Amino acid sequence: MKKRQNRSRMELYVMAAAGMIGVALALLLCFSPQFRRQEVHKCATTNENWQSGPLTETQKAIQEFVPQEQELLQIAVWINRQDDTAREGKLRLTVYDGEGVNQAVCERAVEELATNSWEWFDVNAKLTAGEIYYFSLETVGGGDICPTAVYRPMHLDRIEENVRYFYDGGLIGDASAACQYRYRLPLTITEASIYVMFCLFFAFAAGELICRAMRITGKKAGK
Amino acid sequence: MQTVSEKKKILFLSVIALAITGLYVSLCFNQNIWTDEAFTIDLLNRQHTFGEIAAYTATDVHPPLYYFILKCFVAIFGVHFWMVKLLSVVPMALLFVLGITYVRKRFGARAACLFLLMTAAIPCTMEYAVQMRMYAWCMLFVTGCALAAWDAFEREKTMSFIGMGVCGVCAAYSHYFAFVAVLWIYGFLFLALAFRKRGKALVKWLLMAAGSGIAYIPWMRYFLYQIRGVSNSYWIPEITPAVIRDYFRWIFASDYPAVVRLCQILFVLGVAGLIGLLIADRGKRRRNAAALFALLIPVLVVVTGVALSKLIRPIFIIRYVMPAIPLLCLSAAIVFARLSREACALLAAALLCLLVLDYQTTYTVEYRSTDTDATLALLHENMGDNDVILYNYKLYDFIYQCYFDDDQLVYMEDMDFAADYDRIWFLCTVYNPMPNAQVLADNGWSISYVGDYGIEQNEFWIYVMNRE
Repeated sequence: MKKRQNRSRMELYVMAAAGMIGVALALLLCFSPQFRRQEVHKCATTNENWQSGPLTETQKAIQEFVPQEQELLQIAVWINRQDDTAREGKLRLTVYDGEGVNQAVCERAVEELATNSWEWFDVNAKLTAGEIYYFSLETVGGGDICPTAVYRPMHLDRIEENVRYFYDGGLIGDASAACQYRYRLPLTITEASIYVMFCLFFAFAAGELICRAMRITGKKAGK
Repeated sequence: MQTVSEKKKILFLSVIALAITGLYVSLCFNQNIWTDEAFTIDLLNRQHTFGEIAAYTATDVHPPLYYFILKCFVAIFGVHFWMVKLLSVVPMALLFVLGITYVRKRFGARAACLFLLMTAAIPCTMEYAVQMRMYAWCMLFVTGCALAAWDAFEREKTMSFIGMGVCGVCAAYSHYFAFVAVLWIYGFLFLALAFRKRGKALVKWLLMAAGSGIAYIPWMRYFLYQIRGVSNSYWIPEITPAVIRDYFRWIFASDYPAVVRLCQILFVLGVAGLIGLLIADRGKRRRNAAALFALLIPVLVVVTGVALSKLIRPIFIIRYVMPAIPLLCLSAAIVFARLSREACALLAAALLCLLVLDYQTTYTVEYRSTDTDATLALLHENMGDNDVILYNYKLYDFIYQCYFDDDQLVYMEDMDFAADYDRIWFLCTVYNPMPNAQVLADNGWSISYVGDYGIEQNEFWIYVMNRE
């Protein structure tokens, strides 16, 4: 009788431990950013017919944008390196708010950039969805030939974020940078419920199997 | 412990099945279609007899049963997108009935409950449950065939063999990879009966197989014709190791990376659990054999598809495993039903949450992923009797034809700008031919931009042309 009581108490401990491990796993999943859903908002196509002038420290391309989500992970831009002749310096992408406060600064060596393809910059900025922000593109320490940024006529594009596009301090009418925004979306209740339920199930199932194994071992030992 | 009566179990399972069916029904009332669904609509609009349908289907790569069923259905209810989508919900509901009746009787209410929830909740099924394609019917026929085969193996009743033959022939007439699944089911039953040396049952099997073969003779001519066609050219890309690795992801594909991983872990644990049960029970429990049988069918469909692709040319794409997906769920359900009531309740709760997430995703895809509704609303509200729709994207013409009458649509190269139209609504897709400005001017047309619109995945700008 006492042995059975000890065993059932042991099983209770195992199941309690399983429950705690399940909850811990669920919390880990809920709070691990790499498991959260990401969403990319991009302009429809790119067409290099529309290019700003060379990007230098004084002649920047600036896109005014309104983020649709809070966590902006990356921005991709379409760069033209003038048939790979632009090689020197670094291309700098700076994200700043309406008051000029920098939110993120990222740099990529111009030589590393592929011609005619998307180039991603890791922004990792917490922004306020719906507020106005800007990102600027400039070449720092560039040579005689600097890359250019590609833009699209606004009426041909649907990208929700982009508002106005400037080059060298002047507004380019009806223009929108050829770009993409990658967001990390917040955790939803449904998502969290799935993680909690699945983790608890895995933990309890494992606990139950351990208890069954203990019972079988106990029986064999009893014999 | 107080046992729950069978009536209550049936009631409980019926509530789940009705709720899921209700979710499917709510996904049907939209204008959203994709290319293959446009093929279905095009076939319905153009082919009027069963013979014409068979001949037209033969030029494609699928057998005709779904189109025949659809033809009967629209003969009564008419061609409406929502109605055609609803037709795919019917086999899903029947599949759930199989779960409540047969699966519950043979494998228990717990397995039946998990089977219903898993079939509905794994991410790949909801989309196919409302598609104007044959996959939902294939799922019903293949699952019906497998369950009847199991019944024939256990009870050796003539009716089970008949049921198996009927489902098998229907599956073979619906999709070729459902045919492959059925061939494996037939093969396994033969082996099992031969292994047990059941002479009478083997005779029944032989009669059933011969009957199935005879029933397929009318389609053999088309079947061989399609094989020749596919051997010469087919659109499926080469199957590489990376493609095969991706198969296991596709079944659970979701926008949520953790959900994909959790589903994969669940099914890997199901397989591991089955292996454990087979070892622990030393092959004595029939249910383990049933779970193994149910697991092997989808796996062997994929193996056959890949092998045939290597031998002939790439002819297999992972969605062709859909007919056998409910069997994968059945296998996992039988294994997990061996766990305690509490663990099963947790799994059921997890699957319910997954179902909600799937529904949210599919709802967005069905109702909000394209601009089709806005485009149709604009054109239907503003187009006059003597207006015409001009388009410049040739590839999409048969999709446009699903939404507009033939005499309303004109392709750019066939357009006569001198004709006496009141207005021309131009669906302008980027990088496609544009009207010549001089021709427009010569014929007195002025053009103005209306807005950004789209149909299906094709986005375009709409311009309206008026006579100056």
